[in-house]
Amino acid sequence: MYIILKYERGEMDREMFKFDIYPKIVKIDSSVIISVVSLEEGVFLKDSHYKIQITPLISRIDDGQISDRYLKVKCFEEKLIQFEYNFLVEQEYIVRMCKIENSHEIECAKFSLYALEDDLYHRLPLKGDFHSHSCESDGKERPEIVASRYRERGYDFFALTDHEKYYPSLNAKSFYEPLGLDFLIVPGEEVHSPNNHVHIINFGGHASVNELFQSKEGRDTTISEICELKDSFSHATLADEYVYNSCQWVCKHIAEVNGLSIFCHPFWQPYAVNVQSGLTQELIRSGMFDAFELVGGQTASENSRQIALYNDIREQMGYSMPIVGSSDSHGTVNIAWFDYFKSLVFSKKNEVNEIIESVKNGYCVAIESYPDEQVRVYGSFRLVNYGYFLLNNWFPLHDFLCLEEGKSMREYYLGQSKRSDVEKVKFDYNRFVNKYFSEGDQR
Amino acid sequence: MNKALLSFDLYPKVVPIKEAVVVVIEVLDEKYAFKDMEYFVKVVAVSERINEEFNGDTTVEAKVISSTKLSFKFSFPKEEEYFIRVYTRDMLMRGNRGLFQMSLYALKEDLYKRIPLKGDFHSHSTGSDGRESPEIVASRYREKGFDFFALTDHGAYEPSEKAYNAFRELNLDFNIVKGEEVHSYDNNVHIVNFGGKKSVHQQFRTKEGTDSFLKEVREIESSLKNLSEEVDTFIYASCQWIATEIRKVEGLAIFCHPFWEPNSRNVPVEQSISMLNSGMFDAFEILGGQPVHTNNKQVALYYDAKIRGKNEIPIVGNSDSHGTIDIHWFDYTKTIVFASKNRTEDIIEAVKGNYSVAVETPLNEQIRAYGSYRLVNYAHFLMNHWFPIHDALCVEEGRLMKEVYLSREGARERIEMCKVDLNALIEKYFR
Repeated sequence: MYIILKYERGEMDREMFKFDIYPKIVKIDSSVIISVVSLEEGVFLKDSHYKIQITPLISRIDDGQISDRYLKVKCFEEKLIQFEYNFLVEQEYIVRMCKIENSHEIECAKFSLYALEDDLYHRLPLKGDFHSHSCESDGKERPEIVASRYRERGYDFFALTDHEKYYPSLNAKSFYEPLGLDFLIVPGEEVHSPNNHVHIINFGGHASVNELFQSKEGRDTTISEICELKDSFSHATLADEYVYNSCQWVCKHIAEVNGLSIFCHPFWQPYAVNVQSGLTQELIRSGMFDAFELVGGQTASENSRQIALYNDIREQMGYSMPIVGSSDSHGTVNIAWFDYFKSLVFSKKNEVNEIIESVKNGYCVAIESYPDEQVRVYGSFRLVNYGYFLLNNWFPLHDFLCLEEGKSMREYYLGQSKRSDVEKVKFDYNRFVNKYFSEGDQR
Repeated sequence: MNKALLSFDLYPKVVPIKEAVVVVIEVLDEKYAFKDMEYFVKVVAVSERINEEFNGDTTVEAKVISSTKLSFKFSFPKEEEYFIRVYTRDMLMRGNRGLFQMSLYALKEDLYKRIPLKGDFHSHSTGSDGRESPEIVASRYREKGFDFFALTDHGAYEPSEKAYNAFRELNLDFNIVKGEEVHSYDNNVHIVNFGGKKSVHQQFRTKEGTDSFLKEVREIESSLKNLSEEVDTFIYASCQWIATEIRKVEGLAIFCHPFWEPNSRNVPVEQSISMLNSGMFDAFEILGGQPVHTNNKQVALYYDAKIRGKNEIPIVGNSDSHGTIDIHWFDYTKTIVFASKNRTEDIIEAVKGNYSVAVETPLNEQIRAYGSYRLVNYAHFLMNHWFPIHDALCVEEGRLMKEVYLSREGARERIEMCKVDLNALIEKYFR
């Protein structure tokens, strides 16, 4: 067995520097033309012949033969090779191209494509973070800076969710609104209801839930409403029952403002665990939350226990509660957690309501990528498999294009550049999608 | 190693729940010596307390036995990890964070009666395509703190017997398990025979053996029903035959690394799911000697299969090591088995009864454990607080095993002097 280097963190597939290959993502059972453009001279020569091997990664047993399908193509135009193929099963396909020279075969390119079934094909892979902080609560940088840093790292969306504060996220959002970027800054907050140690995210709600209990009267009303909530919950102590009902109250109010309620990091260990294991199990089982923060800004041993508990409950209930991965970053410059944990959401559009719908329907995987460690993806096997492909073949190109835009956002915020400067480096997401998904023009 | 473990000792570390136990805390450097004053211990139930600074935790008075030893009596109510924090009266009054903190784990009876064993069910030597001789491989496993390992060369049972015999007379508490990796005709599914009393692969070495195998497989194949079209029935039947034969020789049949990618996947997804849910294998190699992304996908598949089929599927984590010196996979992935004794039949019983977790420790990465929450939680405790102590003792024994194998002068005497006494260790830390 050997190590496949392309899967190591931060390692862009070498092929992506040498070739431009599109589309990368195709629909199953429909014939597509794949274009492979050599970015260097002398690789694809006009009138030369090439052999193409297409190996499905998972639908056949490896019997020592390299491939079960060959194509022969001729290069009609310097630097460009095109071939037509019908990919039949949803999975990754490895394409190997060889130049035929005096009946010898010389490998010149090896890359991957992914074929998808209809439902997933019509969803865009969005990289996002549902949980982050700015200096408006206990984070390090201004909301606008945080936003620019996320974009620099190739995020399609992120929510600023300061403790007990909703307006910082609105400030970040409205500041960049005039630029018309394809980067979605989602309103949000971390909700801390009175005497409740469970951390809950309001992602994308159109109003604040924290503000309901920030006045003296609001606080009193909230507490009395929580105390009046009667529930079948009878397993734990009275103190826990209050916390349980308080969570219910918060989730209900997040739903009322059309937000996504996320149960955060129960096994975070500032001293002992954040949320007692018995209560955590009850809270996950209850289904009151829209999503569970499966991996978050904490150590692998904390995340590893959350994952084990989550899988136990999945097995017991035969049902998979929706998950997200989020960083809970409290700083974006030279500090732990930022960009270590994130989500890939498979959504029809990069819009808040579509992202929420996708998470609720299980179209999301959680990503764990500590520096100097290998990447891990958590979720259903189908999406995990696709997620790895995207991390290696889609996001390196995508993130590269976001980098400049993120940097210019920061310069714009600092008054170092003008709106027209940002426009010059804007990342046109639709164009990108249309190029790398087949049938782009019909989308 | 956890810093506190080098400066302090605490025993027992693993206790039964709801029983008053006397816990001893010992300092390992005179700079920490206890003085003639009052000491207290705060007991923090890690997964029961919320994250406020230990308000309302149980505080008990500790007794100074000597300048290096302190003891306290406590009955731990629930199965989980407890922090033990040591305070002077002064510190307690001032709300100070205390002198130091150690950990202890309380267990329900079933798990308490079992001992944690670190093991590998799948490895190779020069008996097939591995790098070192069987005896060297064995000594290297011991050096890394393994309680047991099986040598499972491709199609060869003899190398494991060779490793076993080389150290048998030493009566070590290191269990060298016999085994092999079984490869039948036209079937690329890799299956480990762990602990079988005899070889299963042996049969394929003669033409008659192969012919009768094929005949029986064809019979099984014709009786198969309700399989998805994507399942290769010949392979399915071959695997069923092999697993059955492994059980006949009292071995554990392990389904290995379906997602290993030599070119494309070793075993297609539908084939894997259907064989996993059939119950034909005794255990699934959820982590194997392969890159993290491959193991990660296998874990995702395992849970998908389990939820779909609603079956219990026991798991093991193996390295599939093909070398133990400066080479990938060795010691990256392993299993902690909770068995009543370090004997092969007890290990098999434990795995079948779901008393195992797979542990992932790739070079320079954090520890991750896979399995039920209950065992994962306990495994993290053991990896931090038990195995560092245990493994340190195994290093010397492993090193001397190699010297014994090389017939170095005095090696036998020296290994007698520093043998790891697992029972004594368990007695100190578990009883």
